[in-house]
Amino acid sequence: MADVLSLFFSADFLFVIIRVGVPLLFASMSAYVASIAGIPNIAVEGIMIFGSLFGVYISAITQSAWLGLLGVIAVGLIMAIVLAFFTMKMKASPIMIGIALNLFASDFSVWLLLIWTGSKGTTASLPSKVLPTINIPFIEDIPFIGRVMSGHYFLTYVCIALAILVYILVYKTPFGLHMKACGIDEKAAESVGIKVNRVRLISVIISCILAALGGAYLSMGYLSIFSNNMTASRGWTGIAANAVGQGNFLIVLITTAIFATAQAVVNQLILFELPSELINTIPYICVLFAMIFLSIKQYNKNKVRK
Amino acid sequence: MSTKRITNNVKKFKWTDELPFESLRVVVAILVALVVTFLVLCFASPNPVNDFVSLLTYPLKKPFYFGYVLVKMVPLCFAGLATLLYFRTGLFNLSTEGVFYFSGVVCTYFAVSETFMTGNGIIDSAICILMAGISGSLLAMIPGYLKAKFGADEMVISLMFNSILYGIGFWIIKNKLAITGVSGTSSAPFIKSAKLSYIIPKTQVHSGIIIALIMVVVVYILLFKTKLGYSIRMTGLNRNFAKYSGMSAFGLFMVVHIIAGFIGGMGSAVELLGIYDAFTWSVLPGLGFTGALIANIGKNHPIGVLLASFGISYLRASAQLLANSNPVIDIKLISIVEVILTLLISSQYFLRKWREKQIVKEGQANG
Repeated sequence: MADVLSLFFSADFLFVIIRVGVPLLFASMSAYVASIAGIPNIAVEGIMIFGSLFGVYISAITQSAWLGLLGVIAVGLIMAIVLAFFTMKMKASPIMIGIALNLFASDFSVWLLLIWTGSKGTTASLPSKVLPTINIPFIEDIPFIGRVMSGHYFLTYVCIALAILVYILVYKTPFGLHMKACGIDEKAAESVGIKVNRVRLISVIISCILAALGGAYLSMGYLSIFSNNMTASRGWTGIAANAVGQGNFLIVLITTAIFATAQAVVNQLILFELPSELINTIPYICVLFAMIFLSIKQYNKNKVRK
Repeated sequence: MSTKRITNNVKKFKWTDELPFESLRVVVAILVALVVTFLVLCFASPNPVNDFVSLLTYPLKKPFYFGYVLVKMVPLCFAGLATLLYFRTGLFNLSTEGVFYFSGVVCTYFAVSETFMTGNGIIDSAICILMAGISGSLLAMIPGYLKAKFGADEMVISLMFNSILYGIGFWIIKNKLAITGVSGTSSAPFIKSAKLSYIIPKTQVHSGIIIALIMVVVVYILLFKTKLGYSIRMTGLNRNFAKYSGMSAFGLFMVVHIIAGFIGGMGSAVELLGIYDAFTWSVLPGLGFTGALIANIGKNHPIGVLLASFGISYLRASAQLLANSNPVIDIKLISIVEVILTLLISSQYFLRKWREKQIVKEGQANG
């Protein structure tokens, strides 16, 4: 027992939280950016799957991790165009489109896997590249902080930078104000001269690229291969974190951190001889309780108002 | 007076009318989906025309193959019916997936144990199916209650719920229902009398398909011939309706979840007892999402769901049968057809311009 506890109070554990938290943060930022502009992006999970698959494939055929990353961004862009076209031009329900894209991604990726590698399991046979890990000079030499902050994957630092950028974009720029206006009431936004469709298109593109990068992190860093069902509901966890945050980016970040901690705890517990099937449900139970807690709070608030 | 009525009855058939237009939309969507599938095959296959033709015709070659289509259709039909009820009420609930998995575990609990089985085929199957249905209802009531009472986001909750049910269910199978002494991911074998019998010789078609057809009729009657069904349909169109119809929204949501959960649970037991000899699902069956697609393609109508599940399972069965001999065809390829059908059919503006043009043209022609 002492072993277990000591594991949770170490620099390594904080390192693991960041390691498992990055894809969750990509996912929750993706869900956040789209939903404040009024187009809920349910397809985060599916876009992550495509991002991770194409990252591996493109880096394998071009033999360059950076071209792979570029390909991932292109995949995010294509998915954004599909999502935006059907929800905005064809007036389809974004929920239905999201459900369809998720199922498509999870099935079609397996077919592509079969065509490219001959097996339905992993891309282990493809000579894919991974993005580098980065040791930050000076910081890596500081005793505790160095071990927590330094030596992560390239995309980890990109993710942190993007989180700051998203914060600035939403809270400090006129465009962020336009996004929120479109999310609250598109007619009102239109009446003051905001080009609703343009604002939403840009938001959806940002959202989908974030999700695709989250996928790339999984297959070009966290692991060096794509394997079937490797996103493991991370996209949905992001959507849940966004739902808990209700438009407040800081709460979204905190919720994501809590979910990441739950996931890190699981990663540590799995090393002990405990039933892995049950342990693996812990993050989902955390999300479930967060959602229940949120809705009860909301319910009581509404009751008081009445 | 009488002549007027006759002219009304023989009203000219027009593609722009509601029902023909909807059918036309579906047909065009199917054509687009098949064309895209063909194009994808052109990239992957050395012989795309042959592959495409065999994909479309393979199940017709032998009774066994066609029977396989019908067998594959059963779970899709159940999942579609359960999801249809949620969608009709305006709920985006995807819990059919977890319900399906866990009810299968409950069904297995009864089907592997001598104590519950009487030896009579009909009674034993009925016990298992009923128990799976009841467990489905109970499970669906949890997200249902959270939605009905607190207005919780049913979609995320149902998805988290699926993963949790999967973890618990798989643990139970491995630790409680497996053959003692054997470590594996499969349960002990079902007792013979619990299994559903084959009804068409030389095929795998089992009596579950009759249950599925009965459920289509039951859901049809429920939706269109009862007061409850009317409340369900109207609440789907307008959230406030339930309040005015004399039934509380809370009660209505609970009833819908209970019925949908029951259908999902039943489907699970029927599928297991129909074609499996033991519980061997080591991953979630993916029916939560597929059920949503089937309900959407079938325009949230029970008959539509029946047709959609037949169509999708026709292609899926064909692809799966061909997968043994053809390296580029796999059941997952059919996801192209599924996604394109869903995208186009859920698009309100798909073919709308064409319809408006036709109506304008006709208006001008009539003066």
